[in-house]
Amino acid sequence: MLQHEDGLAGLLDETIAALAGGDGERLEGLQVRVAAIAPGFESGQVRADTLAKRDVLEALLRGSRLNLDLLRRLQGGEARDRWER
Amino acid sequence: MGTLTALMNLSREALQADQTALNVTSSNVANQNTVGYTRQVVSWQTTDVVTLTGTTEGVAATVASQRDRVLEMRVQQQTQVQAQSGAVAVALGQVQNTFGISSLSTSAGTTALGLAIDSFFGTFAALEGSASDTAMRQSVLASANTLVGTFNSAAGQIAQVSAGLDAQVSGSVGRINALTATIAALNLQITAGSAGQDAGGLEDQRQTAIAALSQFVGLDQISTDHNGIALTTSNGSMLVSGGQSFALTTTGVGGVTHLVSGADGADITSGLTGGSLGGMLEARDQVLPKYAHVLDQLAYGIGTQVNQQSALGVDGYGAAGQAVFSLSAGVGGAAAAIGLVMIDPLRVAAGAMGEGSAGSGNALALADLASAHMVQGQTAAGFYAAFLGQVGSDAAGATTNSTAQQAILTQLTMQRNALSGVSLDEEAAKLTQYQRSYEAAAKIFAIVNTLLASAINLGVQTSVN
Repeated sequence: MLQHEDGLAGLLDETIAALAGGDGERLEGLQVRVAAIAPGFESGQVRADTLAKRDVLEALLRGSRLNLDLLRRLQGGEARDRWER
Repeated sequence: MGTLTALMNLSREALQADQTALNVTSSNVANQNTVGYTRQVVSWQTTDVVTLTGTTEGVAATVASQRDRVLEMRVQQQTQVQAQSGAVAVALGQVQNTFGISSLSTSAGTTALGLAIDSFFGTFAALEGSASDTAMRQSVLASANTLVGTFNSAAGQIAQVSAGLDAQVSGSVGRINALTATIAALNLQITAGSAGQDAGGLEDQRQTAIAALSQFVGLDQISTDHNGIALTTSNGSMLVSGGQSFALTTTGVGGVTHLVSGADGADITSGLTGGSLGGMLEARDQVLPKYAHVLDQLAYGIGTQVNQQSALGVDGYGAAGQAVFSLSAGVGGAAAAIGLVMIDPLRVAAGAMGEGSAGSGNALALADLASAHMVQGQTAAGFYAAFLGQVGSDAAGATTNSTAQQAILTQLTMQRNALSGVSLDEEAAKLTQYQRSYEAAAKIFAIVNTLLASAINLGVQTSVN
C-alpha cells in the first residue's frame, strides 16, 4: 500500500508540473502510468499529503478549464468577426 | 477527516474566487462593443474599444493587443491571489513550528505545551501518594513553572510572528508607493503622446510596474482617456489616477501598523485583500488573534481552575491553600501573563479540608482536574488537541491553496507568453496543445479520484468535466 501511495503521490506531482507547463505529451505518458498502478491499489488509510496533491490537481484542472475557455473566446472567430465588423 | 474537509473547502473557495474573476473577464470580453455596458473589476471605457483602421493589418494588430490585455489582467489577478495565499501559508507555517507540529503529526501529547500540561497534572497524581515528600511537592512547582514558561513562550512566539508580519506590512508600503509613483509618471508620458518616444514601450514598462504592484496588493484597474490607467486597491482606495499617485501612509493603532489612504486619509487596513500585503494582513489580523485567543482561553482555564481547587485545600503548614498561578484579570492576554506565585513547596495545598497538613485528598482533586471539562466544555488536553488540529489543518490547507494558486499562475503566465505576438494559426495550434494537456490530466485526475475515493470511502466523488 505504501509503495503504491508513494508512486501515486509522485505521479500526482509530475501531473501537476506537466499540466502547469502545458506538456501534453508528458501527460499522456503519465496517464498510462497512473492507469497501470490502479489495479493494484488497495483500500486503506491515505496520507494527507496525497489528498492535498489531489486537491491541487483538481484546482489546477478547474483553472485550466477556465483558461481554455478564455483563450478560445479570445481566439475564436466570433470575437474577431465582431471586432472586424 | 477534519483536515480533508478543510482542504477541500479551501480548494473550493479558491476555485469559486477564480471562477468569479474569470466570469468577470469573460463578460467583459463578450460585451466588448456593447454600448453602455459597465465592466466589473476592470472597466474599459468606450474610448478603449478597439479602433478600426479599415485595414486588415491594423485590425489584426489591435486585436492582438486587446488579447494581450485580457490575458495580462488574468495574470495580474492570479498574481494577487497567489501572493496572498503564499503569505498566509508562510505565516501559518511559522505558527505550526511554534507549536512543534508538522504536516504529518498534530499529536498534542508530543508538543511542548501538551507535555507540560500532562506533566503538571501528573505531578499532583504522584503527590497524592506521598504528600509529605518535599521533593514531590517541589516537582509540582517545577512542573507548574514549566507550564507557565511554555504558555509564555507560545504566546511570545505568536506575538513574534505577528510583529514580523507587521514589519513586513510597513516595508511593503514603501515598495507600493515607489511603484505607484512610477506608474503615474508613465501614465503622464503615455497620455501626453510623448513625442519621439515609443508608446508601446512605455505601456510595457507600465505593465511591468503594475505586475510588480500586483505582488504586493490587490488592484482594480480602470482604463481612462488617452490610454491612461487608474488603479485602486481592492477596497476602492485610489492609488493612481492619471499622472497622480496617492502614497499610502502608516499609523500605529493598538500596537500594530495600519494603512492610511493617501487620497482621502481613510484607514483602509481592514478591507485590503490580495497580494502579499493582503495575505500578511489576513494572517496578522484574523488568523493569529484567533490562535492567541485560544491559547489565552487554555491558560486562563487551567489557571483559574487550579487556583480555585488549591484554595479548597490545606497546605503543608496546615493553612488554607493559596493561589498557584498569577493571572490576568480576564481571558485576554492570559497566556502571556500567567505566572507562578507559589514558590514554597510546603504551600502546595495537597490536603483536603479536615485532613490536616499531611493529607493528600486535595492533591487527588487537583490531579482529577486533568479530566475535568475546564475549557469551553472540554478537558485541557482535549481543548489543546483540538486547537492543534485546527492549526495543522489551517496550515495544510493554506499550503495546498498556495501550491494550487502558484500552479495556476504558472500555467497562465506560460499561456500568455506563448500567445503573445504569434499568428492566429499558431494560436489555434497552441490551443489544441492545451486542450490535449487538459484532457490527459483530467483522465489522470478521474483515475486518482476513484482510487482515493474508494480508499477513504468519500462516498461522493468529485468530477472535473
